[in-house]
This record gives sequence, structure tokens and C-alpha cells, in this order.
Amino acid sequence: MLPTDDQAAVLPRRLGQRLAVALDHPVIPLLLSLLAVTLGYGGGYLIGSGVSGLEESPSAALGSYAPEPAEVDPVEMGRQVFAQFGCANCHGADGVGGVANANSATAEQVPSLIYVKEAYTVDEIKALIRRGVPVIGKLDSEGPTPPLFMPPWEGAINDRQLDDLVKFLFHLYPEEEDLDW
Amino acid sequence: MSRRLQLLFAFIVVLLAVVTAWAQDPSGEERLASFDSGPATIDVSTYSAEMQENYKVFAVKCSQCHTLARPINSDYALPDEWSRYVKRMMRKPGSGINPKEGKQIYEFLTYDSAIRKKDLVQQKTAAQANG
Repeated sequence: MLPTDDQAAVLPRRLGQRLAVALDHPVIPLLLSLLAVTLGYGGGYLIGSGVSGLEESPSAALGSYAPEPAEVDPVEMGRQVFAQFGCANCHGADGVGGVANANSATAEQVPSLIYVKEAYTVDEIKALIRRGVPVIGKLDSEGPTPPLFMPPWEGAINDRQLDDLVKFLFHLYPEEEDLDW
Repeated sequence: MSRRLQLLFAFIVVLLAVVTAWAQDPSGEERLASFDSGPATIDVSTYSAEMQENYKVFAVKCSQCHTLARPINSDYALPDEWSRYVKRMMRKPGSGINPKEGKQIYEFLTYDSAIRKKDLVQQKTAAQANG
């Protein structure tokens, strides 16, 4: 049966009301989150020791309209991870090292990271970052403990951040210095 | 079985799993200690003259920072493993190893592994081939 003219006028208004009520339902944020995951929106980079799992959720990313990860250069994302986790504080802005670390066996310096690519596989460097280097060898065994060490990042860094960080580290490698062995 | 017994059983199973995993995957320090406690020299009298020279470089340079027993008894055996390991050491500030010496050390370790660690090389090569 076709609606009368009066019914036709009321119908869109009622539909609008019902839609508004439906959108106000508590399940909507969850559905949006699932949709975001399906579409590939990640959590974005919410880095730092105070970041909770909730803040890294896709719904948080939706709130800030994080860009599609596939469109972002992983090396650039890795550079952000490097800066935001404070790696640069010890390893230098571009991983060139040289920061003083008194009585460390590595010539009293924090080692450079530019040669990581030739010295580690992806899995090896990831494992090293996860477990950290809590004990630094001493130059003088009778001397003081070197003040700088690398903390374990397990639990603080997520898999995607670690992937991007490793891509950034490998990108630092000076290809012109590549050795034939 | 009472709930307490079930919980105790579950706890023992988890504990055994953790202990087994720990025993199979010793920490880095334990691993190094096991290498360090092995023989600290290699009889290179049957090696080529070039490799005997390379052994001297290896013995002098590598013992500056760690025991010579460590690389001699380590589970590295394949050329790409040695390449990464030697470069890792060489690039450390103050290593005192230049690229030419690094190459000599790498060539010695690869050559030596092919002889002393033949079985390990075969095992690892087969594992790599099988993905």
C-alpha cells in the first residue's frame, strides 16, 4: 500500500530520528573500530612509556584521522620512532654515535648505528632491540660502570614500530662503504 | 580430582614448560660462558700458509676484547654468519680492526669452520635450504 501525502512527509523525519537513535547505540564505536581495522587504519604512532593499549587502538587512530599506513614511507616512520623513543639521545640524530660513555669498552663512546645493516639480520637486530644491552663492557675492568646502557624495549615498542625502526636503521648504511666479504 | 589438585597440576605443567624452555634457550651470558670455557687455540699446522697468516691476525685482534675461545667454540659456522659477526666487531669504536684485517679474520674463520665445524656447516646449510 502506498503512503498518503501526510505519511510521505512524516516518513523521512521518522527515519532520521531512528537513525540518530541507532547511531547513539553503544555498539557503534565498536563497529567503527572494526571497520577501521578492516580498512587498514593502524593505531598510529603513539610512542612513549605512558602509552596504553587503549591509546593505540584503532578508534584512537580514527579520532586523529591517521593516514593509511601503506601510503607512509616506513623509513620516515622509523625515523620518527627513532626520535620519539629517544634513541637519538645516545646514538646521535642520524645514528652516527659518538656520544661519550665514560669507561665503555667501545672507546668510551656509544656505538654508531650506521653499519647495522651489514652486521645483523632483521631478526637479530630486532632481538637486540627487544632485549637491550643492559650491561656495557668496561674499558678498564677496575674502573666505574659506564653510565649509558640500552634498556630492553620489549613491551614498549610494538611490532610495526620495530619493523619501521629497523628499516630506518638499515637505510642509514653507507652503501659506498660496502665490503666485498 | 579436587579443584586444588587441578590447580596444582596446571601449575606444575606450566613450571615444567618454563624450565624446559629456559634449558633449551640459555641466556646470552650462559651461551658465551660455554664458548669461553672451550679450547682457546686452533692447531693450524695443516692449514695453508695464507690461512696461517690470517690466524695470526685473528689471534691478535680478536683477543683484544674477548677470549679467543669465544669465536673458536661458537656456533657460528656459515660464511654469512661470520661476515656479520666480524663486521659487527670491526665497526665497534676502538676495535683496532681495519677492513683488510677484518677480511683476513673472516676468511680464516670461514675456512676453519669448513674444516673443524664441517657437520655444523652441513646442518645449517641444509636448514637454510629447507627454509
